[in-house]
Amino acid sequence: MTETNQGEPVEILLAEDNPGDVTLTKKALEQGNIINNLHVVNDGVEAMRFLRQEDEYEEKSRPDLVLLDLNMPKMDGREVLESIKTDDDLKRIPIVVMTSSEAEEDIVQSYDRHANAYLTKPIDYDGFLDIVRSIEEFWLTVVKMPPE
Amino acid sequence: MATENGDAWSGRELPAIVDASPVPTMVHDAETGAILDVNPACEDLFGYDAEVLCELDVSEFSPSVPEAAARAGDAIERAAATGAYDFDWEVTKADGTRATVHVELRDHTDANAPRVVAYVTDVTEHRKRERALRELPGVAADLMDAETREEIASVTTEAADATIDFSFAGVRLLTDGRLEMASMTADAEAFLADQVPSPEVGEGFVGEAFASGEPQIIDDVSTALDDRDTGPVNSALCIPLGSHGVLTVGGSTVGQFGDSDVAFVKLLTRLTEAALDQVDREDRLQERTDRLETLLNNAPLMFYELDTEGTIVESRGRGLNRIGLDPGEAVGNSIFEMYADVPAVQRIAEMALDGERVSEVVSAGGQWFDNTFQPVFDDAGDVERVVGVAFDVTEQKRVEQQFARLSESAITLSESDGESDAIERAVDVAEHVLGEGVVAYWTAADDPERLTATTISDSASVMAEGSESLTHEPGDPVWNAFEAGETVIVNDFDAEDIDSTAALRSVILAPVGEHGLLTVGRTDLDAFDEENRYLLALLSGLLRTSLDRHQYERALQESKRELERSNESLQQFAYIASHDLQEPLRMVSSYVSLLDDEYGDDLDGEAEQYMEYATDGAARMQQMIDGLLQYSRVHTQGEEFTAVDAEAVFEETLRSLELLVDDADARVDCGPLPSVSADRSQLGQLFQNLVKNAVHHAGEAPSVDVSAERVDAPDRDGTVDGGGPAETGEKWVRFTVADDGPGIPESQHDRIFEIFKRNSSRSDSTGIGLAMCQRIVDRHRGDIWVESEPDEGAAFHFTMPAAESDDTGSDR
Repeated sequence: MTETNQGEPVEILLAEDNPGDVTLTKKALEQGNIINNLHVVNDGVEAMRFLRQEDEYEEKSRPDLVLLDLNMPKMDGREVLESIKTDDDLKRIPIVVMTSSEAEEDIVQSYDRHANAYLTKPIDYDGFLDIVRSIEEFWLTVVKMPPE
Repeated sequence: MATENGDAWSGRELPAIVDASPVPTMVHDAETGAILDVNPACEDLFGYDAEVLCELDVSEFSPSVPEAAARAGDAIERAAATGAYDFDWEVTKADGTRATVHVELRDHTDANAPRVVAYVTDVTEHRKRERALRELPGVAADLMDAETREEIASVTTEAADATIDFSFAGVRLLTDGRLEMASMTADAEAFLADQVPSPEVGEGFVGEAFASGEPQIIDDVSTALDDRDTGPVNSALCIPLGSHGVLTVGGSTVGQFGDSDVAFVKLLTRLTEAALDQVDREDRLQERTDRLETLLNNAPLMFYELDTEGTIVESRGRGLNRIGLDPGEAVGNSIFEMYADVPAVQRIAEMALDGERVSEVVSAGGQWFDNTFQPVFDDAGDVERVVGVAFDVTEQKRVEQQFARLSESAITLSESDGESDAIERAVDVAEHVLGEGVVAYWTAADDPERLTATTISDSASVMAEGSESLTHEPGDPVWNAFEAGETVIVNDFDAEDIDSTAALRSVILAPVGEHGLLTVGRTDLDAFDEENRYLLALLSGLLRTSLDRHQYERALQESKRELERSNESLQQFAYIASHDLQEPLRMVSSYVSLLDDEYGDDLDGEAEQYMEYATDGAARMQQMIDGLLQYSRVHTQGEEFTAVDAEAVFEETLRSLELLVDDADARVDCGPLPSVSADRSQLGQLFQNLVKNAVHHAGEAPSVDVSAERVDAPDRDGTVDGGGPAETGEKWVRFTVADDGPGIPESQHDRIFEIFKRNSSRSDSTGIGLAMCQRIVDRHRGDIWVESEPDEGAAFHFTMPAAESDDTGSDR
C-alpha cells in the first residue's frame, strides 16, 4: 500500500467508549498500511474539546478523519455529529459513523446530520478488520480533501 | 101582539098541515104587517108562544134592526105587490140571544083577505161561517205575520171565537212533553180560572187527539171527564195542530159538534199548523244563526273581514283579546296600518286581496298566529272581500321550538368532547328546554353508595349554597328513580322528605341509564306536566347515548394507547436489541476470533472446541436478535397493502428456497393461488417461513402441498373476530401449507406460534418463524392455525383478505 503524499502520519480521532472496540480498531489500523496517529476519546464532550483544541488538546493537530460511535456517555455521537457539521471550522472533516446499530432511524438520522459514511460494526473480527481497512483505503487515499 | 087597529087574536090562520112543517112560518096581514099566526117551529125559533108572538110588533123582536117596523112593512108591501120577496133579518129571541134569519115572503092574498106568509130560516151559523170563510184569508195573513207561537195561538183562538158558537176555545202547545194552554177565549179564562190542565201526550181526550193526530169529537164532556165540573162546557171538539199542539173548542150543549164543524175547524188548524211550522223553522234558523254568532264571538280565534282596501269591516272572536282587542274594536282600521311592523301579515293580506288563499304562521309581538286569509269573489269573479281567521299557536310553536331545541341538543351532545362536557351540555339544554328550573346531574360513578351531584346549573348552585351536601342515598326517591330507570315527575317533592334540596317542590327525575340521573326542579308545586317529562326523558336518552359513546370511545382510546405503548416498548426493545445487545455479542465473537488468531497455535483441540461453541452461540444469538428485530418491525415497517398475485409471490419464494428444498430432497407442490390484498414481501415471508418449517420438520424427502380456497370470513370458525359472519361482504382467501411429516401434538397447536418456542432441536431454528407468521397474519386481520394429528402430517392454514376483483392497489 502506498503512503500519503507528504509521508506525514494521518491523524485519526476515534470517539468510542467501549474499550473492546478501541482495541479492535487499534489492531485493525496497526495491520493497515497507512501511518497514522490514533487519538482516542471516550465521550462526546472530550471529542468536541479535542476537535476545538481546548486545554490539554491545544497541541493536538486537527484530525483528518473522525471515527464516531453513536452511543456514548455525556454527549452522544449524534450531538457530536451535529456540532461538527454546523461548525464552519470543522464541518469539512470526514466523519465515519461506526456503530453496532442497524436501526434504520439511526442510519437516516446520521446522514441527515451530514455524516460522510455510516458503517455497522460487523459481528466477527475478520469483518471488523475488513471494514477498518476499507475506511483507510477510501477516506485516506482515494478521496481528495480540500487543502487545509 | 097588538095590531094597529087593536084587533084581538083572531084565531088560527094557518092550515094544520103547516103546523107540522119544520120550517118556521109566520102569517102577516099584507096591509098592516101584523102577525096573524105562527107555527110551532116558529115558536121554537123565537122562544115565544104563538099568542105572545102575534101580539108583538116586529120592532120588538128585532131591536138591533134600525126602523125595523117600517122596513118590515116595506118588505111585506113589496111581497104583496110582486108576489115574493126574500131578505135576511136579525131577530132577538126571548132568551135575549140574537139570530140571523133568512125570510122568504110569499103573497097569499085571496078574495077574503090580503095575506103574506113569511118562511123563516135560522141562518145564524151559516152566515157566521160564511163570514168566517170570507175572513179566513185575513186570519191566514195574521197567522203568517205572527212571530211567536203564542201570537199564533192567540190569533187562532180569536178566529175560532168569531166563527163557532161555543163556550170555549183554546190552543194548547206542546211544551216539555205537556200540552200547555197557550191562548184561550175570555169565557174560558173566566170559568177555568187558574186551573188549566196541561195533559201529557196521550192523556185525556186532548192528549189522545194530539197523539193520534185525528180530530176527536166529545159529545158529552162530563162523561168523558168522569163527571168533573166542566162549567159551561158540555161537549168538545179537539183538532190536533200537527206536531205543535191541539185546538180545543168547547160547546155549551151536549152533542153540539158535527162533521161540518170539524171540517171548518180543520181549515183553521191547517193554517195554524203551517204558521207554527214556519215559526219553528225560523226559530231553528235563528238558533243556528245565534249559535254561529256565539261560536264566532267566543271561539279562541280571531275573525276578520276586510274590504277590498284592506280595511277591517268586521272583527270577532275571543282570540282578539290575545292582542288586546275587543270584538269589533278594530273595525274601520286598515290591516296594513294595524300590522305596520309585521310585514308577514301585510304580505299575506296583500296576496289574499289579490285573490289568493293564503295560510301562514306569523310571529307578532312575541306570539305566533296561524293566519288563513280567504278571498270571497263576486259574480264577476273579482275579490269582493277577504275573510281572515287567525289563531294563537304560540303554545304549539313553543312545543315545536322545544323539540327543535332538543334536536339541536342531540347535535350538541354528539359534538361533546367527553363525558363531563356532554353532561354540562345536557344540563344546559335541560335548563333551556324546560324554560326554567334547577337542573342537576347526579352520578354514583365515583361512590357507588350514593348519588352525588357533579354538574349543576347556575340557578342550582345558588340554591345549593349552604346545603350540607348534594347527595342522595339508597332508598330515597331520587335513588329509587335512578334504580328504576324510569323518568318520573314528583309534583309534591317536599312531601317526599328530602332535605338537601328542600326548596324544590316539583321535580322531574330522569335516569341516564347506568350513568346517573338528570333532575330538574322548581320551587312551585305541580310545576311539571307530561310534556315536560317527555322532553326530559328524551334528553336523558340523548345524554345516555352520548355518555355510552364517550365511554366506549374512552375504552377504545385506552386500548389504543395501550397498544401504542406496547408497540413503543417493542420498538424500544428492537432498538436495544439492534444496538445494545449486539455490542456485547460482538465483543464475545470478536475476541474469540482474536484469541484464535493470536493464540490459536498455542491451544489444544479441546480449547478449539470450546471456542467453536462460543462462536456458534454468539452466531445463534445474532440470528435470534435479527429475528426479533424483524418480528418487531412487522407492524412499523410494513408496506402498504396492494393486490398481490399470491402464486407469483410463492414462486419467487420457492426459488429462494431452492437450495434448501434440494438439500432436503423435498417436493413442493402448489395449486392455483388467487390474488390477495397484502404486503407483498410479508406474504413472501409467510410462505418462506411455512415452507421452511414444513421442510425442516417433515423428515426424510418430505412432501409439501400448498393450496388456497376462497372463504367468507377470516377466522378459523368462519366468523369475524369471533362474531357473526362478515357483514361487509369482504372476501377472504384461506391458504394451506400441508406436509406429510410426523405432525404436531394437539397440546402444541397454540404454543408453536409463540415467540422463541422452539419445536425442534435443530440448532438453526430460532423459534421466531411461526411467531413472525402469526404477527404478519395479524397485521392482515387474518387468522393462522394448524391442523394436525400425530403421524398424519400438519396443515398450516392462514387467511388473507382477497384482492377486490379490479383492485390494482389500495392502502388498507
